[in-house]
Amino acid sequence: MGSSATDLFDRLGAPSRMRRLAAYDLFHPDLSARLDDLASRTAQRLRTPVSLVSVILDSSQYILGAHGVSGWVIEARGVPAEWSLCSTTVLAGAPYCIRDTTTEPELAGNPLVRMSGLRSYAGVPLTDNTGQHLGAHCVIDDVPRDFTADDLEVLTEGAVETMHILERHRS
Amino acid sequence: MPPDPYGLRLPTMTDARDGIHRVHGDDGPRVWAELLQKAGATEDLDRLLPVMTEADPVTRLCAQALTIRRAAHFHLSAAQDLTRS
Repeated sequence: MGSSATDLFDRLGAPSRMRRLAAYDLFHPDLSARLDDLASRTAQRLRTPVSLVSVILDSSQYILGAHGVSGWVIEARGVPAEWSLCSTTVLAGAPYCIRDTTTEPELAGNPLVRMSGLRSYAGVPLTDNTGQHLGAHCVIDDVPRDFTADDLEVLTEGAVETMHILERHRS
Repeated sequence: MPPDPYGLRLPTMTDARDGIHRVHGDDGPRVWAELLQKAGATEDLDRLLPVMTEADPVTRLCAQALTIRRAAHFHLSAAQDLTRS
């Protein structure tokens, strides 16, 4: 593991943050179906091929709900944290948008971007009632796209609904 | 040995130990020692991961992160093999 990845894992894996994540039963069988439905609704509203609801663990993005994802990402239920754009959303603690991944130098070496054809991204953090950013709700498109304030409002509504659903799945 | 797909390494026992120390902070060494004891002082991540999954909720999340990385490595390695053959 490179030192930059280790630094990332240390930030994401802070014990206080991991304890907040561990307060939820993220493996409950009903949770995935409810969050798949939520992701599907967001994708329809924003007319994107992909939407995800994820938490960011110390070294991986763990997908809790998904629409439009196939292949190894859904088989693995996630991606390495250092490839994850949702990791950036979580660490920023604020909405994070990319209009066109091909014009972003810092994404030029990102294997997930190269493999998936991911062209544009918008994500908002999933924030608990203590202010911890636990994950992200996002949409992904295969064409360049300018995300609007209205688009981010739809994502924020989805993030709030996600946190309500998670609250009903406390361990 | 084929190269790691996209530079993604297969997780090791060292990665598991580092993860446990990271997510448990000061309590990490104690948690790691208990996990190793329950797993039979193994050096095999395949034997340790089920023990981590049955441990406390924070350790379970650490196990899930490693499992995702391992699954990603598996699938991408398989795809790499297909394109090579």
